[in-house]
Amino acid sequence: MIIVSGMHNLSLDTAVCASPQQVSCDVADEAVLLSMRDGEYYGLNEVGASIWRLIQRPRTVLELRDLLLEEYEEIEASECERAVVSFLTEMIALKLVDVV
Amino acid sequence: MPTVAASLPISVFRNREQARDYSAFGGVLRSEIDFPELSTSDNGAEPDWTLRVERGDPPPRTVTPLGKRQIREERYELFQIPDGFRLVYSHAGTFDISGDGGSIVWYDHREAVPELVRSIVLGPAISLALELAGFLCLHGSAVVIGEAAIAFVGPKHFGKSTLATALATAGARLVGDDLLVVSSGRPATVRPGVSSVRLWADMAAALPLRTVCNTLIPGVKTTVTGFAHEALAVRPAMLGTIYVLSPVTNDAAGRVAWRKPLAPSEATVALAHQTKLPASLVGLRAAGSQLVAAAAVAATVPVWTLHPVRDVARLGDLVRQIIEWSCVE
Repeated sequence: MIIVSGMHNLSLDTAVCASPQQVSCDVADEAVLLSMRDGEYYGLNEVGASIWRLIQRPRTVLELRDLLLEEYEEIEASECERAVVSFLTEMIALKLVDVV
Repeated sequence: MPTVAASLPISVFRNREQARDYSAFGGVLRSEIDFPELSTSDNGAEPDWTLRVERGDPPPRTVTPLGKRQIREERYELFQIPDGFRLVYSHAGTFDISGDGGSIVWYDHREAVPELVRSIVLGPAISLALELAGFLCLHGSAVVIGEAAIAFVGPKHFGKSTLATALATAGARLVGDDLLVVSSGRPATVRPGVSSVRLWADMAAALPLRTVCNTLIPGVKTTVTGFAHEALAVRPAMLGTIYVLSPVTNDAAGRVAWRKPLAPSEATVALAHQTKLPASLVGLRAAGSQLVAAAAVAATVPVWTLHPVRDVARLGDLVRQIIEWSCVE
């Protein structure tokens, strides 16, 4: 299992959506994914699973940041934005998230 | 006197009208092949699965490859066919399985070893049928201690059968060996499987097997069967704990074993990796269904990584440790 983490540049206006080339399911507050491209399993922690649920339809990075700030009130906006971009960047690289 | 033996079926096969019913995996298997490792069923219930034997080559079908697997000289391939699945084994012939899993037809392979054919029926073929019915089929062994089952999953040679058998000799009841049929739910349950175990000869020699069974069949592995009724779990049992085995050669702290709980997502992936039918054989679509089933089980059953020290001399200590853990949960 690969734990997703990483950094990349995405603009706040970039819209993203979960790739259809996977199967996923929630497990407690976490989530697991199976990539239909390479058969690899991925685990998402609680925050990753929250983002994953939100991008089951197209969302911009800005939308995601604001929705997460509502859910995790103790996080600073800039820190939240970095975390969202980091997560999405790696998920895009893994072809589990599409830019739409 | 004319010689007819060469044209007669091998003795393990029965005529269609003589098919026998067996209890297995919580259901009834009606089979034209004898299964000495299964208990016969005489309750008159309609079979959940039927196994027929057809002579000659399998009929040509339109096939869609799903996956394949190579283990040493043996090659396994699974295909989708219009009304189900076709499992082709290089050393045992072809098995067609209906889309609802209820019918298995084996196209007789002249050089097939009966033991191998039976192991395929009770392994991949019935696993496919059970997965079609929504069960999670794990590669593992299990026993019941008290009211709850403890399952051991992991790759070959990791000690699943040895641990289950050792626990059975210490008073636990054997649920099954090699294939565990798990039903998700609250609570998750495991169905009784095949009431025999296959052990390496050194392990078979190290365990007091005669206290729980009456038949030891030597072979590449020793088949332990004829378990006493009280040493078997005969009904589905609540699944209390799943151990993913990861044996070690020694422990600097002198422990006989230690364990670590897995987070739900880790547990799900660990179980998905231990399905009886690997993704490489069933294909990624079916693997996705297995993942969902594994998640449902991991949501309700504690899953641990268990690191036992590989030491036959300490098997008794290991058994006591596992029983002790089971008593505090």
